[in-house]
Amino acid sequence: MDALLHALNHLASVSIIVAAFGGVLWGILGGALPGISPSIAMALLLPFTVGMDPTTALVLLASVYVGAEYGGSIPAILIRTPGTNSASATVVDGYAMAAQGRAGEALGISLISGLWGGLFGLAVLVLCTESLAKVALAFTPAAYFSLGILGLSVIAGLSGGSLLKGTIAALIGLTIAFIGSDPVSGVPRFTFGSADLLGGVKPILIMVGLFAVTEMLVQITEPPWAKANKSEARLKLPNWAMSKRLFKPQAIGAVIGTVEGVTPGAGGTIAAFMAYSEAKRWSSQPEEFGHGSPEGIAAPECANNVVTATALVPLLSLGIPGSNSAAILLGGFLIHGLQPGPLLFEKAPEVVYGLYGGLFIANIAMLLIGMVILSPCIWLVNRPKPFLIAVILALVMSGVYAIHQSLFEIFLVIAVGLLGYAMRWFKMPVLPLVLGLVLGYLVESNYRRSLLISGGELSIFVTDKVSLGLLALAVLLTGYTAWKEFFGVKEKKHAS
Amino acid sequence: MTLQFTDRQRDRLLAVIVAVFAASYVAAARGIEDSLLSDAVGAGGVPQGVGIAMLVAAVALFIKTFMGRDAAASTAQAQAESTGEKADEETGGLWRTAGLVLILIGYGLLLPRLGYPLTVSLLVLASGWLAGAAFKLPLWLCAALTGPLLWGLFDQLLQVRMPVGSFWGG
Repeated sequence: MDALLHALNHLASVSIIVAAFGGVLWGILGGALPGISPSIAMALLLPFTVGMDPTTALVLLASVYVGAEYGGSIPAILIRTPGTNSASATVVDGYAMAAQGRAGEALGISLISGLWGGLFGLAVLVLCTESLAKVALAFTPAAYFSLGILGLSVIAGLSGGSLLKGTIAALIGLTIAFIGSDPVSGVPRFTFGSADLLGGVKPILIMVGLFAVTEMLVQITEPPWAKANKSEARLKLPNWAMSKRLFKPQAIGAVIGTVEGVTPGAGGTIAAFMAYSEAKRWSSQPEEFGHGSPEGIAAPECANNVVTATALVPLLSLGIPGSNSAAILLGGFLIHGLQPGPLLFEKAPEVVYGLYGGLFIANIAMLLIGMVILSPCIWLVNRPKPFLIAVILALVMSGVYAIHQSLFEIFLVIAVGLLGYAMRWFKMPVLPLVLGLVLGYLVESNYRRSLLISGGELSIFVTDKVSLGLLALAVLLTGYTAWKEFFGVKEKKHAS
Repeated sequence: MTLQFTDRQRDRLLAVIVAVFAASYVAAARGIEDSLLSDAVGAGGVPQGVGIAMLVAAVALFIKTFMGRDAAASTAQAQAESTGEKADEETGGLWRTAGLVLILIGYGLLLPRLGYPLTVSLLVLASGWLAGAAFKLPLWLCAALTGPLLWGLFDQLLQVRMPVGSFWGG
């Protein structure tokens, strides 16, 4: 109780408020710049936290994470460039809405969905950390493999009406994921003797190439005056009717974000894709998805913002950093002599509850800062098209170089942009490719680890209860989609 | 001369390209040598499975193009036959796309030599002109400002070291 009062006191502390607002602002800047991931944005501030009070330092770092996860959606919606991996599911409908002159509405939906997601995740973190920690512990390699299969089962929902092309795209994504050192033996695979490929291909490079560079290669073919109408130059928050419509996809995103967040290694990207697919599956207007559906923004944005809080569950309760960002936050704890784990709640409850309070302020800061900066952002992308293309390319290429200061990666992104251009010509969906890329390592490494544990027995995937449950869910979802597509087509034919 | 494709022809071409890629991929995966640390599946095991699945999907796509009537295909064919002007526009667009690819490659080649601020300014100048902006003051101003501004953002604020350029002794 004392600790809770301490947390409430922090809500009025000037240093915590400054840390939360400053962290969110820095995070939004980092998240909005392709190439600066949430973890990099956090790592840049880590050295400056040494002299700070532990609670202020951790609030600052966690606020950067909150801001960066949200910030990634701004370029995703405005210029078809996901600032972070988890914003890639937002690109499709967000950019489609922006192209229809509804950028302000799309950004408003993203902001509010992110806020609800962040607050929901915080509530889960405060109320359920202990019980959810058991979920994290229940995940064996077999369960992780099945989680990956469950993730891949949403391909149908992301295929835009062509399951075969979606499957091919996902398989191409997997082939890209296999580039680099083998996860078990370390043998180099598909590197063509290049040292640059030994560490694999970063998903953000593929996403920037597929979305941003491809879009510029297409945009350059259109005449300078051909651009979206500029009906909305201001941020437009959802009204009551829209809020009611968004409730279901936000709830779907919240549930999926919670499960994925507490699972170390799963992360916001998988959560966003699954939320998008499930929101489409349960939507009364699934045909709008891919063409500017508000629900297609609400679900992934809510899911990846839930993860900013629920990813702290395994970190705080077990000391397991489930993502790069969580690892940086772990560094923040260790710098101040704190060891996350079960004893943290007994040894330093004021820090834990102070962090909860700080996260609450960070989410409010995200709303307020978003309301201030988004209208100027819309104004910026409404500048004459030739200038916009030129500046976006400069920003994207700078962001790509910033990741590893590698020239090789610049040429790689150009090549991926050409791949995306070809995929557009062939009318292939790109989201399954991104999904395959993100899940490739998770699926392969855990499949092989499971077989090592079981001595080559495939039965391990059904004898492990969590794995069995996830596989059953994957089969159910795939079966339901196939049934809906088959009978849906028959009904449509019958009706026509 | 411009080539026009129906959806069905595009799918057929895609199926062939994917099948060739998948076959080469499986062959490359089979050629991966395992180390002493390797497991029973091996470094090439899963990639081989993925390659075979891709081959099956490509064959299925190819077969699908011969099944049923493809309304979209006939529509696209009709459009292709009736809109010669659009084809010419597409050809012009393709040249601009190729031009932009060359500009981006040039950016990658010049970056370590001319340094970050100047190369970014040149990128803005060239791509802005290709996108339709006139070689007038606004474009020159935009190019002149973008390079230093992004340099300040990445190199100074975010502490990401950008190349100074070997030409300037960096």
